[in-house]
Amino acid sequence: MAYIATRDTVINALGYFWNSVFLDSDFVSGYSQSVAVSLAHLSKEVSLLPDYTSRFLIPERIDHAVRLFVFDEDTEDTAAYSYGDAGLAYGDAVVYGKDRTGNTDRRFKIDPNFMPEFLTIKLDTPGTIWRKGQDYEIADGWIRFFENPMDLQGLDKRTKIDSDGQTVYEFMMWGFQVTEDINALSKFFGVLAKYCGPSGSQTRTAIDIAWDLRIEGATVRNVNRMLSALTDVDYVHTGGAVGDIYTEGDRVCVQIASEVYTAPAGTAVLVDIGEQAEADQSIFNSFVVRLGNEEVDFEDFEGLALGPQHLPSLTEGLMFVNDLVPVTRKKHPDWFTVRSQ
Amino acid sequence: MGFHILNADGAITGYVDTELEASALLLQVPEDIFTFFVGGDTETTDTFMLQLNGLLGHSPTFFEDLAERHGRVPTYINPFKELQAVCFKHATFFIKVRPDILDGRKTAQLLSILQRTLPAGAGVFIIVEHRAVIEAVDMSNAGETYSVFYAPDIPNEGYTGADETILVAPLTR
Repeated sequence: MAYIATRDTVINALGYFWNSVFLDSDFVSGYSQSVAVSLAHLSKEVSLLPDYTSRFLIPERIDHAVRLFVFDEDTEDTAAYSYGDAGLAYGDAVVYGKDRTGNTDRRFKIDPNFMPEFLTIKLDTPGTIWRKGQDYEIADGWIRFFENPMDLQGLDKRTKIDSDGQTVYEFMMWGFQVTEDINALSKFFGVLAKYCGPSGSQTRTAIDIAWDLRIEGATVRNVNRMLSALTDVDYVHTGGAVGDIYTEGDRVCVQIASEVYTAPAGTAVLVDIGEQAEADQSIFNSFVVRLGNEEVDFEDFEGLALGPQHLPSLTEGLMFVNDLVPVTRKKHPDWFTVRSQ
Repeated sequence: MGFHILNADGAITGYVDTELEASALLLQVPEDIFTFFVGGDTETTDTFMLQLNGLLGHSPTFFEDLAERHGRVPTYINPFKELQAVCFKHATFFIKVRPDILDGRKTAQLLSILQRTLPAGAGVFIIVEHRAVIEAVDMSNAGETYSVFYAPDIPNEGYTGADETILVAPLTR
C-alpha cells in the first residue's frame, strides 16, 4: 500500500495545472505541505500497526509529527536590548536600553528540544507557512520573530488574562517535524503490564518481562530478569568463560564467551577473568535475591523489619537481626515480691 | 507486723497484714521469661516476648518449640533465621537492591508487578529495599554493638542509628 505522505507526492497527485498553470500556485503549494504533514503522520501510525500485534516488536519511540505551539506575552523576553545582542545589526530599528516589548523584533520562550517548521492555522485548511530564517529563527530556547507577531496576517491570536490579572496576547502556531515522543510504549502496553516508564529499550524490556511474570509466574529467573531490567544491568542468558572486564564510556563491560554484558559505571563485577559464568548468574552487585527456603547470609541481609501487618496482635513493627543474639532470662513484667515492713 | 508488696522496680504497690497472706501471694509470682533482642519500641518488644513465652494465649510457645528442637532453650539464637524457618519457607523472595538504584516509583511498580504474579491466596512476597547509610545502631540490650539497620517506619527506641534501611513490603493476594 502506498501513502501520499510527502509534499511532493501530494503536488504530483494534483497534476501539472495546479502546480504550474494555476495563478495562485503558491497557495496550492502551502496547502499541499499542510496536507502532507497530516498524511505523513497518519502514514507513520499505519505502518506501525503490524508491530502492535506483537509485544516483542513494540517500537521504543513513536514521534508526533505535529504539535500546537502557543506563545504568550508572559513568556516574552522583555529585557532591554544591549549592544551586541544576537540577531541585531547596525541600523536595526531598535533602541538600545529600551524594553523589547512593542518593538518589531520580539522573542518568546520555546522548548529547546524542538526546532519545528510552522504552519499558521489549522492543518487541513490553507494557510501561510512561516519560513525559518525569513519570518523567524529559533536559538537557545527562544523563538524570535522578524516582524511583530501582532502584525502577522493569518496568525491565530487571542487575548487572555495572565496570573497577574493583566490582559496579554497569545499566538498559536502548528509546528511540524517536532519529533515529540507520544509515549505510546507506556500508554498502549505499559499500563496493561503495570510498568510504565520513559520510551526506550529499558522500558520495553521491562514491559516484556512483566508479561512473562504474569504468564509464567514468579520464577527465580523471571524475578532476576525484572530486577536486571529495573537496575539497568544486562541479564546473563548464555554461560561461558569470563574473557575480559573493562569500562567503556559510562558502562562496565564483562565479556562472557562471545557476549558482552554491561552495567552502569560504579557497579561492582562479581566474577573474575577466567572464571566460568553460568547462564542466569548474577554477575553484578546491583541486587541480591534469595528464596525463603535458602540459607541467607548476614552479608546478604543483615536483618528484616516487619510491620505490624505481619505481626498478630501488635500495633508497631519489629526488627529481626540476621546474627546470633544471646537468649537471656528476665523478670516477667508482672513480677513482684513481698517484704516485711 | 505487715508486709509490703514491691514491683520489679522496687516500688511499693500493696500491703498485706499476715505472713500467711504473704506466703500465698508469693506462690503467684510469675516465673522469669526468656528474651532476646528484637528491634522496636519497648512496649511492642515486651508484648512480643510475652507472646513467644506463651503468656498471651499462644501455645505451644516459641521457646517450648526451641527447647524441643535443641534439647533445651539455646543460649544464642538467630532471630532472622528463626523467623525464616517459621514464616518464609515458601513463596517468598528476599530482594535487596543496591542503594539509590530504584526510586520510589520504580519500587512501587516492581511491587505491583510481583504482586500480580502470585496466585490468589498464595503466601507472602517480601521485598526488601536497601538504601543509603543513615546512622549506626547500638543494640545494647543484646549486650553487643552491631552496626545494622534502621527501619524508618518502625520506632527505634534505644538505638542510635543505622547503616542501611530495610523496608519490608508485605504482599499477599
